[in-house]
Amino acid sequence: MTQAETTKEKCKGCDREIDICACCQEPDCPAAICYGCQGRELKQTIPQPHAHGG
Amino acid sequence: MSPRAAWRLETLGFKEVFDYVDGKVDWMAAGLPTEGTNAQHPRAGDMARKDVPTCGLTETLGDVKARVEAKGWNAVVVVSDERVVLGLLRARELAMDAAQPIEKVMRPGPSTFRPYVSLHEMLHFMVDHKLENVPVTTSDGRLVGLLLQKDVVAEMEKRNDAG
Repeated sequence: MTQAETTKEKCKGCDREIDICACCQEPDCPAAICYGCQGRELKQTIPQPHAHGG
Repeated sequence: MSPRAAWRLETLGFKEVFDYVDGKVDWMAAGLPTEGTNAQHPRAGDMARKDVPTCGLTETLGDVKARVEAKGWNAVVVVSDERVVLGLLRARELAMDAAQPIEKVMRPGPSTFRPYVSLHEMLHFMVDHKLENVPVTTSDGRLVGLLLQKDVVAEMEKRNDAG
């Protein structure tokens, strides 16, 4: 029995393997991006400076 | 603003200064007004259509489709009683079996965007990912409206023509 080959996308931002594009959730997205990179690119999430305040 | 900035403003003579604990990004994500140079740029929340049709999880696709198409839309946002976005139906889902409940046919947990994202950035994402429309929400997931790619293109062209 042959095992089905699963191809994973790679995030265009960090090159990490992802199951599906976080933006369009479509397979084989040419601009696949992970949730974290999308948030950072659109400034929807920002890196926190210091836990103890700035 | 940060507590330090709030204290500084008080030393400059401002009388009613508040520390918005959740921060600037959360303030903008709620679609609240901002000032400064960046406030002039058009944003997703300004252009998102607030009259986008919505439906609940338990309705049937046939009922929703009839209601939506009568108003000339080809997209519906699935929301909770608190108007939190739970799913999305685009043309592809609206063409499915009319007897199915919305919960079975919707795209669950669609990618959502905050109202303060610039139209320029939104257009870039929508073109790259071939998205005709995207839901715009506050940071706690409540629907602001549906942003249509054609509206963004028209607005950008208008601004380019104006110089």
